[in-house]
Amino acid sequence: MDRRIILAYDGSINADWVARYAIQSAGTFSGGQLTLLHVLDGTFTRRRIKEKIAAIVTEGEQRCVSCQHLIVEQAGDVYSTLLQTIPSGEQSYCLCGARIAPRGRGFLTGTVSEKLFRCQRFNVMAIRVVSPGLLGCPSTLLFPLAGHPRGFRTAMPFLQMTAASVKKLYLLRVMTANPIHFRYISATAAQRKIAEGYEYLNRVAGEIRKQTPGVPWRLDSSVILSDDWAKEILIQAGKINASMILLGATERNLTSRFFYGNKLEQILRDTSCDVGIYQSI
Amino acid sequence: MNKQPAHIGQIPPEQVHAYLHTRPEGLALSEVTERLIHVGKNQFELNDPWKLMRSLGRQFTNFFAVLLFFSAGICFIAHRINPAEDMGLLGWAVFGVAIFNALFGFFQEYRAEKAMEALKQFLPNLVEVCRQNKIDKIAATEIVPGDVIILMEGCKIPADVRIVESESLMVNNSPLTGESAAIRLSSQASDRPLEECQNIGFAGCTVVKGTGRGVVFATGLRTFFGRIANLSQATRSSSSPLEREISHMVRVLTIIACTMGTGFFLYGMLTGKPLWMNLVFMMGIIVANVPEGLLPTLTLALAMGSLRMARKNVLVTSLNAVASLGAVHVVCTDKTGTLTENKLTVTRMINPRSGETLTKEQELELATLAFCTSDVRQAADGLLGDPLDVAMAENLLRLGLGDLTDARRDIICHFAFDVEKRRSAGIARSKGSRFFVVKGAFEAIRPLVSGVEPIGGSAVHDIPLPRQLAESEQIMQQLAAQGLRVITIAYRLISGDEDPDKAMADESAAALEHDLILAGFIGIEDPIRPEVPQAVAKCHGAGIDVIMITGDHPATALAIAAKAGIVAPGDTAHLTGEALNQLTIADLSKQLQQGVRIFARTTPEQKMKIVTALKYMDRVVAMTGDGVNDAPALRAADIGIAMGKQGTDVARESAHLILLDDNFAAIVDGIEEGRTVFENMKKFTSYVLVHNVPEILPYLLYIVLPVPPALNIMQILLIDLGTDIIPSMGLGQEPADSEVMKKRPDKFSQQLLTPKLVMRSYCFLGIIEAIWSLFLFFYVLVSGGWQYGTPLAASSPLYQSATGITLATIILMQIGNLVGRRYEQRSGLDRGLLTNRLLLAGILVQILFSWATLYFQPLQKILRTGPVEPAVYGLAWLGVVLIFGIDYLRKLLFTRGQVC
Repeated sequence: MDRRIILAYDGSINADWVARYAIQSAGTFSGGQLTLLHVLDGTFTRRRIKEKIAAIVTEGEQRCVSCQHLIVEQAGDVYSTLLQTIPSGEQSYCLCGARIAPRGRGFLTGTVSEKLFRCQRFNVMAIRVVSPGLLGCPSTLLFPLAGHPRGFRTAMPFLQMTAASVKKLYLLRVMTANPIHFRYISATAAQRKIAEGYEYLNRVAGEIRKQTPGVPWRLDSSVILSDDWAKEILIQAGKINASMILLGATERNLTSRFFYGNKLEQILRDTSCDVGIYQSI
Repeated sequence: MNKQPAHIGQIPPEQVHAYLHTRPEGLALSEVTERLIHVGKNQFELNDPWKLMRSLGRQFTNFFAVLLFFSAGICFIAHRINPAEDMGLLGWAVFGVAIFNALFGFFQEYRAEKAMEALKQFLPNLVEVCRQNKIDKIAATEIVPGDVIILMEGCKIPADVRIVESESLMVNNSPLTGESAAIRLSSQASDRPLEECQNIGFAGCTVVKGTGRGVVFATGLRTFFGRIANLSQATRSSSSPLEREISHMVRVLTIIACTMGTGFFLYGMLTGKPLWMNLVFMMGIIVANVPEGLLPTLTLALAMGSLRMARKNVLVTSLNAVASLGAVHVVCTDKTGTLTENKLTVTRMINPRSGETLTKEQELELATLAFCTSDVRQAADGLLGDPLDVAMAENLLRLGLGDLTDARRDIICHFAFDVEKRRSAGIARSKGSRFFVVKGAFEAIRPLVSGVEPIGGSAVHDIPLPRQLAESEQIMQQLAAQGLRVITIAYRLISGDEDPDKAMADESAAALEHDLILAGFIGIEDPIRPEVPQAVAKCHGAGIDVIMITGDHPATALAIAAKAGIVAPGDTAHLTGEALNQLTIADLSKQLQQGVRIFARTTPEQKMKIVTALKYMDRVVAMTGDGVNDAPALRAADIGIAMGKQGTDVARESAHLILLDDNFAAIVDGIEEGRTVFENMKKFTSYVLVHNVPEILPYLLYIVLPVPPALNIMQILLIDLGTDIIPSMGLGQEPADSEVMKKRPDKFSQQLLTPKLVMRSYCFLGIIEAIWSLFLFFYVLVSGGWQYGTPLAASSPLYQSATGITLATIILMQIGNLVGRRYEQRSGLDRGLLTNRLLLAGILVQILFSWATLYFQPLQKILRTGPVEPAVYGLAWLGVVLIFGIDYLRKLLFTRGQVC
């Protein structure tokens, strides 16, 4: 298998927790191979990082995952060093953390992870772990979908990365209306939008079933009409007791950061479960 | 390859610290700081400083509020242009109405914040934490994942923790599970799902006994309790049918008012009329079209409806719920305490082999065995303890045991009810021997049984055990099918070489739970409330489905449901909690459409799924609940109903209604009241719209013809915000129609403003009022010497008399309209005016104002009216007969048309 999972490991506690997701994913997705990559930026000593990585390697071994590690000196900044080191291409999957940036800028905004998303040279998934007790094994996955015309194709690899432990998969489509329209929307118009959402989700559910034959998860879907999609995702995650929200960040959304960026931050900040934000190239 | 651990509960205690990146001696301060920054404080309240501001903003930006503010703005501009018209006062009046409505809505939303306050009570303020090998008391909000916390008797658990050390640790998980019995926690790894592990201490729960240490793995809103708290706050209650209807009505009226006002303003400007005249005209049209008094009257009607509901033991916490209750399609209700009396009584004691009732002596023996597993205390006002244990003790007393002291003395040890195992146990001595006794559900005890030996009987060896147990199960099913809760009693003699002391020391009966002998079944009845079958029948007659959600055995649930009339006798369609877990929302909806009305062996969390499925089917749902974990479902339902007696504060604060006596029948009374309120709202909406036409028409004539306006804006507002309010409230007080519980729920969620109602109000009754009032206006003008096309000053006595009689006529004709609106097809007099005092008061106010408008000088000054001849005033009275008579004729013709 050609797929490579590279964990951009910064040595933080979130990175330690994200490492579990990386090990879990590597076990099923990349033939039991995982590369740990750390850029020495002065936050941790080489010795400390080696100790931390050794713990991850041991845990990987317990799960039959072979972990290679690279500790590289910073060349320029962390972002450019990562770009130089991580191989480009659609077979490369970079896992990184979404942890709060200095001066309260947010979990993604202004971070190296956000720059990795924007570089579009490899697939990226940024994870915020808030429930370390789940050990990177989400059993109930909430997959909100924005109605991408290409369906589920781009999201499928990321679903497969987390699939090993998933028992329940919930697809969610939030049909959005602007706040004024939402307050006065007629029942017929609301029903029409919801039916449209279900039509899309049924198509996606069919696609998932076709591409993951034999996976024993229970698939459920839900469509909600709302003026605030981020809030609805958080509510739905609570309702179904989700262990993880897996959310796509498309290029369009990243360019309209003023609106969409804030919503992603809202989800990352207020989440009651782990969140993975992915982007494929 | 070994099975990989899927959560922290599956990790052996000695590895837990490493998995959570901590150490037995606790975290270092730098680690705490890093984690605190990353996961945030241990609190489940999201920091949203703008929440209240947004809520307030919403109230001030709805169509109606904007329209009223716009009207007020025009008044102030008009006052600025021409202060002599005194439009400023009017502006302030309209502004006041807008502010009142907005603030009222805001305070309704603000109430929801109280639920969070109730939830906060479940978390401790301070907690003992081991950090850097030192035990400190720190604020519970500062706890982070990886912290090692100390648990001791009486303390509240501040976060979700994995137990790593325990000594007789018992916790009360009732905030999460609703089960009042304490459960034992240990540090051993478990293969069960995280929420079912007995090595996890959940936030919000209380340690009732013992000590222990736990490592925090989830804080704040990531804990199970935090999720419930967050859901009960964040879940948006969908707008009620009434809100949607009012919104629709306001939108229609706003569009009419603005279109007419703007259209004729432009017409006036194009035809060269002065700006001031056009502004006054536009204002007049808008003010005349907007029923300013309608929303306050709707609010008052709901408030009065809520007072009437309170007399029926239904406390309303959200006014919109009053009318919404009338529109519910489905009532989802708990069983215990709502449909039943929650008085457990032992009614049957059965031989598990023959199915026969035991003799008196055998009953006493079985009851004594059952008592060994029960934990009750004698208090001044009776026995205290778990209701089932109390029922067992009472049964023993009923069988002739005068005092429980002796029976209690024989009990050596009691093992508390184990939620996971669904059984409790005890050790007792009798005649020099020691017995181990277990009491619980048959399914929970069956695997431990090695023989069936009824009390007073002997073991049978020639029938294989599985067959014996199958026969016993059949007997148990038959008992359950009678609506009884069946408790199985099994026991065994403790042999001399066994060491029950260890089990007692461990407070775990696990080591003794084997080779039990099935002794008998005890059937417990929780009698159905006598008024429930009638109430359920009333629901069905009103097109409302009743769904029962219970933790009981399906057979018991079905039997009770059949007794209550929820399902037909013999109907077995039901879903268990386990089956429910396997269904998608769409599948569950299909099951509900196919007639499943009973949910047995369910947990409170599953209520949310049922609500979601019902809403997926476009049903208006009322849901009952009492526990903390019911709060999200109560918020998600259209009408959340909390129990006043059994309910927790959290459930009460999250609900729209509170049943003061926990009685299902009160819900049905509430539905009837809600429907009556909705019907009455339609009546006074129709009543209020009628006077819009005689208010608008003078302004239309004013713009197209050279005639003075027959009413000024102050006079219009006198009707809208003055004389019409009490009569409208009177209509809101009309008693329930006998047919109200025979109509489909959809009738009460649609069409507050129907095309038929608009046509009747505007094009029939309104026209009659307009024609007669304008006739008298011109009659007074012409008989006073006015000639067509001659302008009249606002201060002219003739003009003031003419506007006075117009106003008086409209006010008086509203009396005829008022009486006619009491019934759709009957006259309105047949009910008697004296039966509704508020209506009568309204009529008196109208009479008084019609006279005062013309003849009372202080009011004349304010309204700029003048007196007319008494004979002309008499003609105004004729309008009452006119509108009532013509309307009655219409009703007669309509009824005859329907009969034909």
